[in-house]
Amino acid sequence: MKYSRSTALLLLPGFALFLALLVLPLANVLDESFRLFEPGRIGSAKDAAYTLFNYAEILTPSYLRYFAETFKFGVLSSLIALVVAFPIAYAVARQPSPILRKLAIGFLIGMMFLSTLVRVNALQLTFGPTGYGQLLSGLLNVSPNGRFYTELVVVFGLLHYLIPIAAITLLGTIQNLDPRLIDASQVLGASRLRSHLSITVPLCIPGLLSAFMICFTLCLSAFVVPMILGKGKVLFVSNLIYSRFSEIADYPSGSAVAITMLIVALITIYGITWMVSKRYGNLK
Amino acid sequence: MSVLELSHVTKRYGAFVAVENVSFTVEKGQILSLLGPSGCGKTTTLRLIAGFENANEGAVMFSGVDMKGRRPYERNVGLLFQDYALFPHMTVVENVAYGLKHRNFEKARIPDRVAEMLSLVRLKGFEDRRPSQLSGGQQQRVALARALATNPEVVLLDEPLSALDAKLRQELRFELKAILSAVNATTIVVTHDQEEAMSLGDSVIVMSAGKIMQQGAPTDIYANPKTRFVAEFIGRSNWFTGQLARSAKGMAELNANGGIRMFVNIPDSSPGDGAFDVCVRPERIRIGAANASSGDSPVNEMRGTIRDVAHLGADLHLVVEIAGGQLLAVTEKYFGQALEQSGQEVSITFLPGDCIVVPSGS
Ligand SMILES: Nc1ncnc2c1ncn2[C@@H]1O[C@H](COP(=O)(O)OP(=O)(O)O)[C@@H](O)[C@H]1O
Ligand SMILES: [Mg+2]
Repeated sequence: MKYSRSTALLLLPGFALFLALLVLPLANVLDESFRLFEPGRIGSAKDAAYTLFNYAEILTPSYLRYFAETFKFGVLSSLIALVVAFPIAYAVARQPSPILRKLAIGFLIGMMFLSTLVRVNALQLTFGPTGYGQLLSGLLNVSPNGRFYTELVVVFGLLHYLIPIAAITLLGTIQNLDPRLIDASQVLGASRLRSHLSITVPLCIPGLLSAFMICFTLCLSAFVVPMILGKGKVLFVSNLIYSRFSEIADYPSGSAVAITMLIVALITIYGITWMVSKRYGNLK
Repeated sequence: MSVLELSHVTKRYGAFVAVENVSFTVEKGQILSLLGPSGCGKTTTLRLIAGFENANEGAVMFSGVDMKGRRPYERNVGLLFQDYALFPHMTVVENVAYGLKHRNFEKARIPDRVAEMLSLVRLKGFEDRRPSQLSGGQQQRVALARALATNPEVVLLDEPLSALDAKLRQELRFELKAILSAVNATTIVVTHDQEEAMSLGDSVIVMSAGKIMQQGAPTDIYANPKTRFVAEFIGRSNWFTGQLARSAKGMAELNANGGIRMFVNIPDSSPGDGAFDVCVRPERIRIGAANASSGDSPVNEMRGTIRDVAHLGADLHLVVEIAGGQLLAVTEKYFGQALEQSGQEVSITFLPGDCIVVPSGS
């Protein structure tokens, strides 16, 4: 493609902003992550020596735990969100009344505008000791202060914003699906459930994949949910980065964790996309 | 016992009646055409038979068994959708095998059955293609193979040829008929194209606004339409409207608008007097003076001027203006004769037996 000078000029502000706000800070973080940290300082010294120590540290079990925890909650919550959101999206997409459909879509979009702090505190109120915490933990036969119940509430917190986003992402995919296909499948002897499993779901794989990616990425960067609902028992990598930076001012270590997280997340996302498109490549 | 029977079936959507008091039967191996304009309830009738919709009144019976409450997968019908609805993520083989798998056809015999169906629709060599890699005609054959594979009690074809271009439509129509008769399928074919309905069907039902207007063999419907709607829907027609007066046995005289008078044959059962519409098919009108071979029956003869001559290959379509400015469509076979010229004065004739009498405004 040939760019004219005016095209280049039009691209310039965006490019400058991209450089100033994204590339430069990232380069700084990358540089900081290789610097030696002296306890008691705020960040590394101007001329601190380069070292691999910050990264070596991450390989110790106490650090790896944060990564494992983040990925565990990320995968689990994203999968639950997809399973819950899919029927919701299907019902909305196939809703014959245009008014009800618009109301439902409006509700889902409205849900996304809710501040995270409000969600988290609402869940805390509802499922904490003053709400139905005793009741629910009793029903599940676990302690309301135990690890399992805390993890459960953290998953609730994540689902609270993942489900509307997943449903909206899936809506378009399902709307593009020819409803006749399910009719054809039923005439050929498949029950409704079997029809959805062998026709709807495989045809929605690209949509499910993007919804999963969005959910998973949001989980990886979740901060407030584990901080408040996790009550110190569940901590994500974001919380670790925060404590490195803000509590002990060990910028080099925080930077190394951040860079590692970025790389691991990118590898995971590319890996999953590659695997799915290899298996279902014919769909796009 | 009839393979399929609809008995007084009515389907409403709110206050709107999509199908009203429809009754008919289809016998084993018979092809029934459902013909009618768009929106007259043809697809709805098929969906009632397939089990996607429940009738508000009446019954759908397969071999005498009432299908009430049975879901589509609990009936055994083959349905060819208007746009085929092939599964895009499956190959041709997987599409055809789908019904066999879900209807618990013996697993080991599925590949043989699929191969048999693909050779029936002449699609050998396309096994591993996906629907997107096939032409419209080929997709239609896959859909047909898929619908027939499970040996359904009734095969329902919804506008099977409408998505194809005209030339392909002609070829496939003939082939479709051959395939259906090869498997002796009991079939309902829905169409808004009268040629399709008449060439495919052993019997034709003409529908309008959810109601059956007339049922009969294609020739019968063409020759003896009971209403003006049916006569106009099947084939081309010229109309004369006026007062009928019985003159002799089986004969009446029409005093048509515009001062035209003509003799028409009417059955003895017909009242024979009052306001009627009379239809004359374009191919029944002859150009040229009356000849003596018409026996003792009177010949209707009129003077007219040729206004247009269209040469459509085997047929000539002429437009003749008669008294009162009425335009008549006339068709002739072309066998190399000298063509009439526009503006030429001619006399046209037709016999009382060429006239179809229907109640006025029906
Ligand atoms: N699900 C539905 N809800 C409301 N009206 C419908 C529905 N399905 C069909 N109709 C109406 O019923 C009439 C007949 O439709 P259809 O059977 O599809 O006609 P066609 O003869 O063209 O196949 C149409 O006027 C259509 O608008
Ligand atoms: Mg239709």
